[in-house]
Amino acid sequence: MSATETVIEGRCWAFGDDIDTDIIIPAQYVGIRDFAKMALHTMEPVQPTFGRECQPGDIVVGGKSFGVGSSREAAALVFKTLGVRVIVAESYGRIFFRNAINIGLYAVEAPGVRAIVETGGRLRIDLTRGRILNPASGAAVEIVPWSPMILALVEAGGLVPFLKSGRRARAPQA
Amino acid sequence: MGQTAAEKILGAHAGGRAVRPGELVWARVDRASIDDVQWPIFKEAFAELGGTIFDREAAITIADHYLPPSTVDQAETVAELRAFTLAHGLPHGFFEEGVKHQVFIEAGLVGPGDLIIATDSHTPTAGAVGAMGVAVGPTEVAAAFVFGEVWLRVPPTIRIVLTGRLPRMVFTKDVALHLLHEEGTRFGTYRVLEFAGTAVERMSLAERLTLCNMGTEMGAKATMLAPGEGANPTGAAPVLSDPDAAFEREIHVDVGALEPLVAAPHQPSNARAVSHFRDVKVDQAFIGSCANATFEDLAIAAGFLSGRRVAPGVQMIVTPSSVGAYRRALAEGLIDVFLKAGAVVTNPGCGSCAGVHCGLLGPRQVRISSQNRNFIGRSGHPSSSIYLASPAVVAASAITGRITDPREVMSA
Repeated sequence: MSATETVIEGRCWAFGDDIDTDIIIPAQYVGIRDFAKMALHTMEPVQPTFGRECQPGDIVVGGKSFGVGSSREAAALVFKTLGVRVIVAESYGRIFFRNAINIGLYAVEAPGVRAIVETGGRLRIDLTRGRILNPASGAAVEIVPWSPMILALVEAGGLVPFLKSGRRARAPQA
Repeated sequence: MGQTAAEKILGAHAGGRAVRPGELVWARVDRASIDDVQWPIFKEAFAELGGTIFDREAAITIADHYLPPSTVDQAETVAELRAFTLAHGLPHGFFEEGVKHQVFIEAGLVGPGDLIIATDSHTPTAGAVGAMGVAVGPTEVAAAFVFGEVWLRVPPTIRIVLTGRLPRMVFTKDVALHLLHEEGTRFGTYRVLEFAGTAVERMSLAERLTLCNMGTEMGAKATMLAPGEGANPTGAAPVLSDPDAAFEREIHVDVGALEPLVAAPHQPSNARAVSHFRDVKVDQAFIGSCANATFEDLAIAAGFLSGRRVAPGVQMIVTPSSVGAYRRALAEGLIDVFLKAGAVVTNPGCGSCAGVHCGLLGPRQVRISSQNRNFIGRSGHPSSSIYLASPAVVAASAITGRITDPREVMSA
């Protein structure tokens, strides 16, 4: 599905269904103006060590409705701040999905993915062929393809670089 | 084939063409709102995109979550947002008025056929006046401030037909909790939920606001209904679905068969009849949030508290949604009722619902609330519990100290 050859492999952090934005970054930390400090509290209610132990290149795996709830973009930004490039989930809360794409995260939707990996396991995500493989078990699932525009947006690094590169002119006025 | 209201609105904002579900469009926005919570991220994106404003009429700033600030970081954020509003000469900046969804409607900024985006998940509340309200993040509101548009996928519409008359002490909050119980929290994801039917036609603006607000908990991208009398702030012509529009599904509910409901922690879909919860003791009773804190909601709660006292050991907090609601409650004596009953009345705003302002829950505390979500730690400590209900259940429970069927208190 990617225009360029993109295969990302990494260690996984796996979570269940309905991980809402109040879990990803609890409200009491959303007001922290230093994003690096805020990110230390990522996933704190369900995985208190995540913010300190997540390493750049790690992959976050969610269940159904990952990121449901608030529109806080901080919920996507904390993952990016920790060095996560890819999030894979069975499905997403729609605002989180937008926010992740708009800041240049690969928010991949892949039904069945939660069944093929647990925390500490690895996944190989082939964005070019639209396939996710657990190299240890050989189990694989398909990625729900993005539209070309969304793909271009993510590959540009997010909405801001996409717009700055002039790839979208102003809307025709009705 | 006909079009849904949402397809018509998006088509009109995407250059005036016919659009179909699944299509990606760049849509011109009538209003875009950045709030206090998301300002720090907006600020960086806005500067990087050049820092100019496409249309000052369309650009709204509002401080409603940190109203007034309760931490030093919040104070710094609100000060920056206020300075930004003044520096750009924005005509629509709100720093005292209350929750954006109610305030924008009271200010006449949103009406039928409008497309509004805001950095707030409950932006679908705008469906109550026939507008398409879509929740987005601060980076895309920054882009909309600069370029005037947003990317959106044209959503399919699910039509929810509500018929019958609401029984005594059953409210639109109960209708929403019923739908969540039956259909879950995912059925509206990427979809517009359009409410129709005789029960909707009879609803007041306040009731419509609650119903559409709860659409967010159903996953909705936006909600829609036909604007009614007293529910059209701009006077614009309503944009309605054609009779032969293609709906993805229809759901039918006879609201006359419903009873008061309560959603137990930690999902709004976890709803059962109020009688199931009679043994649950509460530490706090909260009337507030963009779901249920209009003047009408305050009046329902005051109807229970008039001449009664909040139970010993219970803290009741009343946070009106807007200055408009607060002033009318003051003029009609409701604030006095709350104060005499032993409740705390705060200034308007999002209050403690979002977990960043006064009235938070401590470890293991239990709240009965008129708010819209009861996620883990939503309004305080992760071990606290939130039960969702109508203002009537909240007020009745405040009086007894346990989750209580409002029909029992009112017949006593």
